[in-house]
Amino acid sequence: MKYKTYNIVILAMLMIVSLSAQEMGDILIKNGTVLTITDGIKENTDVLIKDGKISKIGKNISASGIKTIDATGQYVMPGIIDAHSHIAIDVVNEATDPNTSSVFTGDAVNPFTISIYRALAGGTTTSHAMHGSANAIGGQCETIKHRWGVMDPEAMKMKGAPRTIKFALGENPMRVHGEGNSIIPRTRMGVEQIFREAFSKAQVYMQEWDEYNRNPNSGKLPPKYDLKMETMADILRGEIIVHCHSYRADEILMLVNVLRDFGVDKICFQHVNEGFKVAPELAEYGAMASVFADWWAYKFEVYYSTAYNAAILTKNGVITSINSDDAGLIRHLYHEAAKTQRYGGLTDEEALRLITINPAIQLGIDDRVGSIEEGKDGDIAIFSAHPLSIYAIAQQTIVDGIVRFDINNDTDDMRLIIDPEEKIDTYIEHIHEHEEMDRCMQDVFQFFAHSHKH
Amino acid sequence: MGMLSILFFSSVWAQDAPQVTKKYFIKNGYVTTAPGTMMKKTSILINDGIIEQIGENITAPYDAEIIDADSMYVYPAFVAALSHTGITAAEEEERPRVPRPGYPPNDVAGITPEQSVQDLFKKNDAGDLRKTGFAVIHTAPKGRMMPGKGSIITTNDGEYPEVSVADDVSLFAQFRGAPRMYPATTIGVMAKWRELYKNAELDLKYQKAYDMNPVSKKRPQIEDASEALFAVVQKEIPVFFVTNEHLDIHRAYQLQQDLGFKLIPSEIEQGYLSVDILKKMNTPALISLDLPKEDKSKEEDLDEDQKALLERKKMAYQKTLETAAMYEKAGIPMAFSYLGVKSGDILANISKLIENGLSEKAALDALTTAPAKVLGIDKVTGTIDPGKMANIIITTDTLFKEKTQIKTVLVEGKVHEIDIKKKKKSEGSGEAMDIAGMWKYEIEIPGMSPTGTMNITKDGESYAITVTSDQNPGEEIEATDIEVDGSSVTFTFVVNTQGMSVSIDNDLQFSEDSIEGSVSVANFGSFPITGSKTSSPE
Repeated sequence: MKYKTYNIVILAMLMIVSLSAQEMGDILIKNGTVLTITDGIKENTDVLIKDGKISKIGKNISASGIKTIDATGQYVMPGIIDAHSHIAIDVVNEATDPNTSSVFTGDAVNPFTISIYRALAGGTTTSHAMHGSANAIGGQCETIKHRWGVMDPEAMKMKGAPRTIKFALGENPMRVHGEGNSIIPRTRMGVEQIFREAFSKAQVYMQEWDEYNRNPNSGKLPPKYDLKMETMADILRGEIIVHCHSYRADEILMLVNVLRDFGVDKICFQHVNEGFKVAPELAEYGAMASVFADWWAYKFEVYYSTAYNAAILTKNGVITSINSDDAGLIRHLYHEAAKTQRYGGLTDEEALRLITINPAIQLGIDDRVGSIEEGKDGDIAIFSAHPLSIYAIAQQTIVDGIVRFDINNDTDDMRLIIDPEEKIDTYIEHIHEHEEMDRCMQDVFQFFAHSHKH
Repeated sequence: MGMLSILFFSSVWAQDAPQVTKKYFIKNGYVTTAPGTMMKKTSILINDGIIEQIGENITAPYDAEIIDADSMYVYPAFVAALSHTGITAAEEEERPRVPRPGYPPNDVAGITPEQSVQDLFKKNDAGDLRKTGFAVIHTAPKGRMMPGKGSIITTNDGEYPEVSVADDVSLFAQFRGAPRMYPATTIGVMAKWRELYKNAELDLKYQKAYDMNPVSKKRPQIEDASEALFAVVQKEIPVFFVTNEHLDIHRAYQLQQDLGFKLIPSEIEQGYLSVDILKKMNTPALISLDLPKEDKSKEEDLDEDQKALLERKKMAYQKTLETAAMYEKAGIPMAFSYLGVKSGDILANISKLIENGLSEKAALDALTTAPAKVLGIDKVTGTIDPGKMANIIITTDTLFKEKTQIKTVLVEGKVHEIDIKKKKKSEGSGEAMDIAGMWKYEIEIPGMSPTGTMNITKDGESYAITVTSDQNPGEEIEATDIEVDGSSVTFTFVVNTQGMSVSIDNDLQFSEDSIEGSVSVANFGSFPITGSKTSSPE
């Protein structure tokens, strides 16, 4: 047994070395059923990935000297994309102000988080590592690729992905700041005011800087540099996609009105449980929606919900995705997508779009991921059965042409690093710690608890 | 009060006997002037704190005090690249309340780059590091994200500014957020860094424009924190950033890339993962000597899963010990930092690094030339060369051997003799000695000599010790952690007074009817103790 233990350790070490050594790979996937998403289903088809990109899709492709996977009888789909998660970051909430647009979850990316590996084990290759929902205007978020094995947090980031920011409506920002600190927002009106004030100030800020920058060497007194205002200004300039935590229809329309007033059109509502009530309005504004399949009733504002939400939004022409917001759900988003066939009768392709090309559109990365097309990133999930089948099990998950998960090479302890002083049972505790239900409010609890003591 | 009275006379032992001469002549030692060298029968002449001459054939002037180093080893004294020597943490309110947690005052949020060691230096505890061979220390304020500026001091006793070599030579920074206010988290700290830095750049630019021509310009009104960052923005001083974990190094580097300051990653604890990034950064790295504790669980007590985990922990522990060797191999310039390590563990921990592949030369470099260079004081210290500060140590054998002891430390020409500890094990004898009985003791502290008794009783194989003090009759204190090894006895007792508990460690050698040894009192230092037996057990 000692020998076995040793082997596992060595294997884990080898994983680190072999995975971190390269970031782009070559792979030929032979003879699978290829679910392209954007170009139908191709039976008995090969997919060739060269230098991390899909270079060819077709029959009888041969390529010598590169890794070949026999996918006969298996289903080959684009890597699943999660438009709302909080894995792989050490900090979720900087809950200290109703507006923390200065902060950026990309600063806290942690490539050693075991949830990344677990997400890969469910075919998920890209996720949106979001700031939490404690603040009306939360932090900027990072779109990451699940390159499990890299030691450099920068290597987890999807370079070139558009910037995004978290907004939040309703109870969370009201509770943390209104109840917790007796400052605005105490009500939903207050939440609206946070946005209006921040955008208005940003307009003035932009003018001041434009004025100063016309002649920066004039020796004039420069305006004060304000990182929050910088971010708000970039939203006004259309450089940042807003992703807004929301539940109630009235609030959703409120934010649409605010954004219309300030000329901001890149908006994806998150959770958006009452989205089905305002689907035509969302479609008209071009707003998108990222929803749970069937998760609700965890607080008062989330009772009026339906499992038909995704289907109704889809049928109304809203670009819709299904997200996890959770390290557990991110492992089976394909099940979550399948629920829309039971509740709403979506077609296979419509259902799969909810976890592939649609979240890609919402993150502004649909030119690179979300479907199997020549020229796109070599991000592939291979399943034992059709991914919308309850019997489907992820076999191998490939990111940029590199196998990052292989069910046949999946030992008990796949952590990349451990603390030499950790207590021997900590591993178990660690798992529980990371299976909290609502990570949107992570880092807030301590903050919040203290606030109530006075 | 009892034994504790000895704690309140710190000023007494700061006063040494007046110096008779300023010239010293270290005679006939094995001299290592710089790491990797060794000269036999070499002497060093020191005059007024400066090294004047080194050589085989130099002779002592008539007015020099001779320090006989025959069969002894002489090295440059060590330089500590980062510590909190002499700094007491500012008292913080446990839960400070501010009206708007998003906009707290800088000082409450831990942003005080304007703080200087010269204002914070309270209790000179540099003697602890001096005993370990250090002559020069870079010390930095304690606090949160940006506690203040560091200073370089000597390890001589004394007050500010006499111990100061240079002030405000660095900015000290950490990823440590504020309590319940902005910036509370690492991402908040990083955002705040960017904002403070950009504003300092703008303020500096405006200040310069104003200085050139103030006509028609609004008078600059610059916040203390911003002005304090001018030296960082202009790259005049480096930022010593605490980066315990691998990811901290990446994060500090990210800030450095965004902003452009000079970065010294410091107190690195998980550095075995960071070879690639440090090579890319091309900066000296300060490795923490606060090494992890090895898990010594016995495999037979564990199930298969636990065994596998233990195996991985041991591997991680092993890698931590190999960090310094990895850096040496990779050509990453390194020194050590001393924020976490106990001074008594420093040399033992460096020996562990050497056992795990670090060369002795690189170890000595990391103690002398490398930190001197990091601190920009390599012209005046770090090696034994004419013209440099007389910062020298004399040891009983070559450095890094287990039994080697530091006998003398010269700090800027001031001679400090170090008590050589008796070897713990009375080799050869091996036979257990019965120490039971009533003993009286006297501790030699300048200006006072506390006396009292130790009542040692034997119960089966183990001993119990009760300590009394003549200064406070009637009070009896039970000793703990009693370890008896032949005639060597160590034990600890704790004196509680005024809400403080002070731990007093005894390290004693017993003979038939006398005691010799040392007593160390918390951070205050170590003092000789003697005693004699007054009666055997009844």
